[in-house]
Amino acid sequence: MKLKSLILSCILIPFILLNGQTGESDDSQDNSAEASVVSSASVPSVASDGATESNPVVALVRAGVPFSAASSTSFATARKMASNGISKFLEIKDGLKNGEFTLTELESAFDAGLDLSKGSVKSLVKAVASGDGSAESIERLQAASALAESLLVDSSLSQASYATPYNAGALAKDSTTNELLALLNGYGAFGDNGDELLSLVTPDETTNIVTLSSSSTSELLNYLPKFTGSVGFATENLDDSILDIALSNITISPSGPITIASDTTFSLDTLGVLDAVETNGDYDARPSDEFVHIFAAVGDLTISDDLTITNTNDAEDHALVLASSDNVSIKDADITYTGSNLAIGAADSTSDSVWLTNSKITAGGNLAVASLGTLNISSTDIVVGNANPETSDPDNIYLYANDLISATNLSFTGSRLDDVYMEAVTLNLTNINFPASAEVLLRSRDGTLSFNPSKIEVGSVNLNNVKHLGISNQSLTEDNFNMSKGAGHIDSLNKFKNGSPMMRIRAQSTITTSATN
Amino acid sequence: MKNLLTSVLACSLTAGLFAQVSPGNRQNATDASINNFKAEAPKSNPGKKSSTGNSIASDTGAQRPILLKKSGFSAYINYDSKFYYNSNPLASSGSLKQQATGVWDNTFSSIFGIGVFELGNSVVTPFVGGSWTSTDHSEKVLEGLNRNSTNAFLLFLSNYGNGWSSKVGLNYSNVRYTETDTEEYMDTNPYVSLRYSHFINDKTSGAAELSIGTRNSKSDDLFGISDKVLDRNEVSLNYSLSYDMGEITLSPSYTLLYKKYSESVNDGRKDFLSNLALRADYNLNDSLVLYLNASYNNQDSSGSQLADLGNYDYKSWNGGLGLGLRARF
Repeated sequence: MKLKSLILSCILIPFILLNGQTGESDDSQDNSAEASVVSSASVPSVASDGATESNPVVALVRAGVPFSAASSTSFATARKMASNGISKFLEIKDGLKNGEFTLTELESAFDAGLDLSKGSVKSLVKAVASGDGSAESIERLQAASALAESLLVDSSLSQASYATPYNAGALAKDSTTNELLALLNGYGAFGDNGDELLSLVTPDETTNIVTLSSSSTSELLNYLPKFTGSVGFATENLDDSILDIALSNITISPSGPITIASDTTFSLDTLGVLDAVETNGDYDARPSDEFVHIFAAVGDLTISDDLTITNTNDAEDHALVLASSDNVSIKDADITYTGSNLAIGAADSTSDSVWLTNSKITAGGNLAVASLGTLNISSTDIVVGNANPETSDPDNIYLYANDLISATNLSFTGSRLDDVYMEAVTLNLTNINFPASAEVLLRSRDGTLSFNPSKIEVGSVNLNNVKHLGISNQSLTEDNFNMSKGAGHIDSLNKFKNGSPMMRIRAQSTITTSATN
Repeated sequence: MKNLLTSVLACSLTAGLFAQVSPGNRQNATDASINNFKAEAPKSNPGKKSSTGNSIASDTGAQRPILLKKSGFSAYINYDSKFYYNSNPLASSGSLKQQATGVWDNTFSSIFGIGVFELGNSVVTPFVGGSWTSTDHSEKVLEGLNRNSTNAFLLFLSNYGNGWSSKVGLNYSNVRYTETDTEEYMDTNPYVSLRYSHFINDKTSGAAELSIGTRNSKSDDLFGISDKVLDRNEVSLNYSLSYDMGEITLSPSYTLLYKKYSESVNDGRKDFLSNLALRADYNLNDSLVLYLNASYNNQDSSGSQLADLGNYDYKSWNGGLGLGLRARF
C-alpha cells in the first residue's frame, strides 16, 4: 500500500469526524441528477479496464505464462518477450510454462543482448545459460544461431533444398561450434541425454574451438553410452577397425523436420557425397577411408510415399544415414537406396520412436534401423544385399532399440541375407520367417526365450509363429533350441555347415557389443 | 457510430417534449461494470419532498422542470477511500478466484457546475470536473498492477420531466502504473445517455439508463502492433433500485455492457460484460457516508484475432467497505 494514501486518509478522516459537515447542507440544492454526476466523478477512472488489459503482466498471464513467472517479470522484460512478435512470444510462453527454461535464464539472455528474432528461443536461452555470458560468446552464439536458422528449415528432401553438405571434421574446428552444439542441443538434436553429452565438450578457453584430440570416430565411441543412456560398445570392440572412420569423411545435411508425402527421388551424385573410395581398386577400402553421409532431421522424419535415393557408387565403402532427433515414421512407403549401406535412426526414447508400417525398405548393402525407444515394425518387407552381388558378400540387417522391438509380419523377400541382429530389452516377434541363409542373433536384457503369445515377457525374446526356414517350416518352439546352458546362452540345435548355430539368444550386458559373436 | 451518437443525442435533447424531471442517481453503466464501488453523493430521500420540487415532480403537477437556482454555480470536493476484496484482479479466464487480493482505492475528485440555463423543455447544467485515484494491491506480487488514474470531464446534464434526464459528455482518462510512472493507457470517451427514474413505492425508486459511447484509446501495446487496439464502441443498459431503510439505503443494480472493438488485431472482437451489484449506504452525517458493496462480473468475449494469446473471458467478484466524504460549496 502506498504510504501517501495512508497519510492522506489519516489526515482527512479525523478532520471529517471532528467537523461533521464540510459542506453546505441545503436540500434545496440537492438535485439528485447532480448527485449522480458527483457520484460518477468520485469513483476510480473507468479506464481501469483498458489499463488492466494493456498491463504487460496481465497479458502474460492471459497468454498462459505461469503467474509465478509473470508476477516476477518487469515491464521491460515483458516488452522484450513480446518484441519479436507473437510467435516468438508464444515460444517464450511455452518455454516458461513447460519449464524448459527459467525466467532468470531468459532475463540473462536479454541482459546479454541476445536477439531472439532468429532461432529457437529455447535453444538460444539454454545456450546462453550454458555459456560464459561474455559479449564474445553472445556474438558467436548469434552467428551460430543464424547458421542454425538457415539450416534447420523443414525439408521434403528435394534436391534443390540441399546445398553443399557440412563436413564434420571442419565443423569441429570452427570457432562457433561450441555455440552451435549448444543451440542444436536446445533444439533437442542430441536426444534426451543431450545436456550430459554436451558437458563432455570442452572448448579451448581462448579460441573457443572445440578441440577434438582425435580425428576419427573411434575416439568418440566412449561417449556413446551418454547418448543412448547406457548402451555402447564393449571395450574389446573399441579398437575394431570398422569403427574407425575419419571425421573428415563424415558429411552432414542438416534440416528441420523432414516430411516426404509424395514420390521423391534424390541423387547423392548430384549432392556430391559418398563417392567411391577406390574407383579402380578391389572394392576393399579400409574403414578409415570410408564415407558416411547423414541427412539429419532436427525433428521428425516422416515418410508416407515412395522415396528413392540414388547413388552410382554401390560399393560397400560408405553408409547413408537418415537420422531424426525425434521420431521416425515410415508408413505405406517404398524406400530404396541404390547405393550400399543404409541406416535409419531416431533419438526419441518413447514408444513411438520408430514406426515401420506397410512399407518396403530396400538397401543395396546392409541395413540398420535403430531407436532409443521402441522400434515398431508392422507388415514391412526388408530387402538387402542386391546392389553388388558380384563384389560383396551377402549383407546384414541390424535392428536395435533401447526398450522394445515389436515386429509383426516382418519379411525379407528377395534379400541376399547373411546376418540378422536384433537387440532390445525385450523382443516381441510375431509372424516372421527368417530365410534359411540367415544367421540370427537375438539379444534381450535377460537372454531368455518365451513362446507364450498371450503374455509378453519383459526382458525376454518372445517368439510367436516365428520360423527359421533353415531349421523348419514349422513355427519355432523350445524343442528347436538347446536350453541346457540357461539364459543368455541359448542356441538353436540346427547349425550351418561352418558349425555356427542358425539362431542364438543372448543377454545384454551393461556395455554390450553390437558385433555378432 | 457517429450517426448513432448523433441520433441518440438528438433524442436525448428532445426527450423533454414528453418528459418531466425526476431524481435519480445516475448509475454510469460503464462505471458500474468496471468499478464495483460506487461512491455516491448524498441522495434526496425518495419519500421526502425537496424544496426544488424535483423529487416527485408529478406530485406537484409541474409539466417541466423549474429553474430555481440563483447563482448557477456549484462546487463539490469529494474524497473516497475503500478497501475491498477482488477475486480475480488480472481478469483472467478460468476460475472465479485467481490471485485474489485486497485492493485499496483512494479517490479525490472535484466537480463544478458552471451555470444553469433553460433549453426548450429542459433545464441544462454544464459540469466540468476531474479526479485522481490511486489503486494499490495488498498482495506484493501484484504490485505491478498498482496505478494512478486521472480523469477529467465535461458534460451537460439535462433534466426534463416525469423522470427523464439525459447527459452528453466527454471524458478523458489516463492511467499510469506506479512501477514505471509512464502513461500506460489513455482514452477519450464521448458519450450520451438517457435515463428514466420512477418510484415504486414511498421507499423504493428505480432507474433505467441507456448509454452509448465510444472510446478512442492509446495504450502501450505489448506487441507493438497498434496503440489503438483498445478502441471500442460501448452500449450499456443499467437498471438500479434504491430502497430506503431509514439509516441505510440499499441499492441493487444490474448492468449489461456491450463492447465492440474496431482496431488492428481486435477488429471484430466483442465483449459482453454483466455486472450484478449490491450496495448499502449509511450516512454518518451529511458529509460522510459509510458503505458496503459487493458485485459479480462475468465477461464473455469473442472474435479476438489473438486467440493464441488467450481469451478475454473472465469472472470475478468484489466486496468490501468504503468511506466517502462530500464537501459542497
